[in-house]
Amino acid sequence: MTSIKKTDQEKEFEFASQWQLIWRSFRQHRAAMICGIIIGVMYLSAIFAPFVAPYDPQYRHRGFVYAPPQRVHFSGDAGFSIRPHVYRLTSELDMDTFERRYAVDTDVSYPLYFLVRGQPYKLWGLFRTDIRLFGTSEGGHVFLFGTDGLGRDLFTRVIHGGTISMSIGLVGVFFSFVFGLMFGGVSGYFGGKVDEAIQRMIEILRSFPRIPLWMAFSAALPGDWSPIRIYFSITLILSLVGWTELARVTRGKVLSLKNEDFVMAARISGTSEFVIIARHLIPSFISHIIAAITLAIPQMILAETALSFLGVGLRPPVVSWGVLLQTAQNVHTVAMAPWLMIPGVFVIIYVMAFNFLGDGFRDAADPYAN
Amino acid sequence: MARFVFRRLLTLIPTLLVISIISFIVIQLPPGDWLSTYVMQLAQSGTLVDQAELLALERRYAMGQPMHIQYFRWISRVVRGDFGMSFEYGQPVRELIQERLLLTVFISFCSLIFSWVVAFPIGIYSAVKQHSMGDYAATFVGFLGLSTPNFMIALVLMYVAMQHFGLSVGGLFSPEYVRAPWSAARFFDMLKNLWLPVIIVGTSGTATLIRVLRNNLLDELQKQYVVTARAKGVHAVRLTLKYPVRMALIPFVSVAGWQLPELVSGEMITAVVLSLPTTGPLLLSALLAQDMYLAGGFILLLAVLMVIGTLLSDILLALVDPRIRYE
Amino acid sequence: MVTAKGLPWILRVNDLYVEFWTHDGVARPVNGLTLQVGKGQSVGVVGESGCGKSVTALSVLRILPKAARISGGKIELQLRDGSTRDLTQLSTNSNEMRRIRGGEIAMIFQEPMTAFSPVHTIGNQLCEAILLHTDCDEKEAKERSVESLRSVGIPEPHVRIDEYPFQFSGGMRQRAMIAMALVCNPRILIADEPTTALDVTVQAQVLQLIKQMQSQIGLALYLITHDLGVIAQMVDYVYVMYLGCIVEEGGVDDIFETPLHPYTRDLMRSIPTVSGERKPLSTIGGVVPNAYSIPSGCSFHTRCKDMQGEVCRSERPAPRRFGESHRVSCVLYEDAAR
Repeated sequence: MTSIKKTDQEKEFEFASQWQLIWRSFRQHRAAMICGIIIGVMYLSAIFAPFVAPYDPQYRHRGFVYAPPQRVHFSGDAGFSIRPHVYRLTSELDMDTFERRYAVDTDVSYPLYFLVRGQPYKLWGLFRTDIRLFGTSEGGHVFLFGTDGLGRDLFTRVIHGGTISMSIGLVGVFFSFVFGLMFGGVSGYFGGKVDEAIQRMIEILRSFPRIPLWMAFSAALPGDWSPIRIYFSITLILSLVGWTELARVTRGKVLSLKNEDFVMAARISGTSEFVIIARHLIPSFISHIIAAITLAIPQMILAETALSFLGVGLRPPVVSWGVLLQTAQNVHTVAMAPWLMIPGVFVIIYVMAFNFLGDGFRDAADPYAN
Repeated sequence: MARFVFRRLLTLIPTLLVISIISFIVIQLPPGDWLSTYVMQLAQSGTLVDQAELLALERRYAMGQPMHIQYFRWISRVVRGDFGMSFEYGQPVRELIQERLLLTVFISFCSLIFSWVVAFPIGIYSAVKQHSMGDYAATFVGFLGLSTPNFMIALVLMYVAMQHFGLSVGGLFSPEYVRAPWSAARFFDMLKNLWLPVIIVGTSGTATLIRVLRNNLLDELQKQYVVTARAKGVHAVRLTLKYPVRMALIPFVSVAGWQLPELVSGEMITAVVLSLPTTGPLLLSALLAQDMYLAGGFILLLAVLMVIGTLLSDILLALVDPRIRYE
Repeated sequence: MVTAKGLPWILRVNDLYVEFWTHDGVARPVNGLTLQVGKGQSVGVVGESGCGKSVTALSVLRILPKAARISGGKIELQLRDGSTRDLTQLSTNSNEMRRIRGGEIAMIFQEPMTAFSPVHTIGNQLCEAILLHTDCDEKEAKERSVESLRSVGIPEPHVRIDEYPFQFSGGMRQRAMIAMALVCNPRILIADEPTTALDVTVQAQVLQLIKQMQSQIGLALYLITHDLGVIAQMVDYVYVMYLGCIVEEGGVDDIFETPLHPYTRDLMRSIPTVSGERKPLSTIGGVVPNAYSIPSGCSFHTRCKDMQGEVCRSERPAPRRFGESHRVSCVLYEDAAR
């Protein structure tokens, strides 16, 4: 259907840039909008992890091994109160089974406060402070997600693990993006023998089961490497195998764009090949690339989680969601402390939010489709 | 068609070559050669190392020779079915791998069938009834399946089975059959335990297939040939099944093809959690113990099986799409 | 009632309204459209793209997309037994409607490339139509299909029947399309831009073929096109359509020699002529308004060179008779009968 310069709104539509059109159609994708917000909140809490988390991720709370999650209450004996509080956890060691049993002591409650002084930390290695987002009054503990087998607060560790896991997604995708753009772009633009060779390579890489290959490469990383070195090696390994999809999208887009008239126009006017690629091709498919990247990030996280879960990815003391889930590998442990699966819930939420977001981007990337 | 298959077979040669090189690289990955690791291990356990045996081994694997010679030694053995020795188990790799590999492939194949059977009706329903509650529900569950790591599904199902049904799931055989030789009874026992890994491994693939089928079908439903067929007076239901669904089947088949590697990957992780007697746990322990001939053999064979799988799916694709056949 | 040319009518569309419900609001591609097709007559509907020509045709066959509905008017069809049916009253997927599709009214489309399913043989798709509308068994259906391919001039029809559409050239595909449309002896053929996607040389052949088939089996032709050249060559009676309604209708000579409506006159001026002096080709100013916001009054007033002021903006002009069968909806003219 053709449009007309009639109302202001339509005028706006007619003269809107491609980005404005994309934004317009993206906003209509409500699920994607919501997921975008969820992702935003998750990244914010990752950036300010030490502030959001009430404790130090490695700190062991004595006497609180496998403590169950505490419920936050608003009402108690004194009736409803706006100030949330948690009840005291008491524990005793069962001398027959050597299991620690926990009970909630509703007589003693600890109110929760925002912006309290807690264990000191250095934010981003720069600012020394002891202000935490929330905490209990003196003497109390708050374990929103319970504790692990060493008495460490799981909520704290999930938040800190998020920093590592979510950044792996970004860094890994960045590497893949570089590889994918390079190979896909070259493949689509030059075509012919080059294209053929690169396509073959991609095909072979895709026919490899990824997990075993990843496992093999990561298991070969020397055990004495520093955590940061392992971190980058793992992301690099993930993206070495994971760039093919991005390359495929890039190639497809380049192929379809390279025959468009404006490229021909640029070439006839004597523009160099490089300028054609950089100035004309890349901007016009960037929206598709963004969508593909958004859909690639969750793949990275899933891979990292799987590797760490198997014990060949990141290694403790580094905290990532996968490393946290490693403690849940045994079903008997899970039966005893089901809250150890909570990091998995975060993986699911994160991956799902990214999938919805990527879907929304992909639909919006073609504002002229409808 | 014969020409198509022949051409496709030709492209296998370079693929297999690259696969073998990658597998060889994997074998060579750990620092130091496996022989010195082997000797060290023997020495640690207090076993005396027989110098003559050591020399024989050195010669056999062309230790100390340039890489390409080592590669040729290794590959010429592999072609004859000799994948080397596992020093962890002191057994030929081939004996260790065989059954586990077949089980992995069998479970992955069953998962593939499972995901097709589940995805097909749901995908069609979702597309035909676009924007219905059922479509939204299917989309949501699909995304959920796509976003949940296999091992999480495995853990949750095991947890539920244990807490609520008092079942101890895991393994592939009942205790009395674990070490038994293959028999019909053992096979049926396996089938009884198969559902859990198949569901777990198949879930994420199912989610992908539903989405692929739905999106393609939505595209196809708007094509001109659908209008043509309607204008002929074909009944709506018959029309949908005969034309757009048939067309949407094409990407469906090709997706199913390159899903095989994903399924196998998923199977391996699931196998670790459920302690299935398949590839996953053994490969993992081989990698951790740097038992590289075992690990390399696994990887090589898995990749070869995948290549055969993709080949089969390509042939299937040519069968459903005449445009490929007549190219 | 008889049509303008004195033929008994076979299809009569009366005051038809069609709405599309979309995210952006309600579009009204057809707005009170009235037209008639006589038995064996060739009728052309001409207009710019997006004016609702195709939607009208799809409404007649009741194969509108899901988002669309007929919100008013009648579509009357005279059946073979002489009885009359209002197609708007039938359910889209009812047996009767499906018998009418392909059996009474057949349709061919602009895109011969995509109009066939690429994964079924031509024969399969032809036989399907025959099996649906006749009592033939598969063998007879196949023979009839071969026969119909032969009749549209496809060489070696018994071989080509087992081929796939992508093995046919564009022109051949359109021929096969015509064969498929006519294989069940319909009485009306709706041709929606049948030659637009074809090479010029092939266009002439296909048009020739349609004409020939029409005279052979006494078929009524309902031709939709934006190409006035095709209209002049193919039809007896012309409807000029603008934004979902007919602004002018008349015999093909009336329309070409004395176009009355400002829109028709603009259309005529935009045809290049071979003879005569060279002058710049004229175009119609402005843009076609979209179907979401049809202008009030005479919908052409936003682009009309002869706008008469308020009356054009507020009042929808009724059709005025002008000569024997020439009608125009424009305030510039007085009704000759009055």
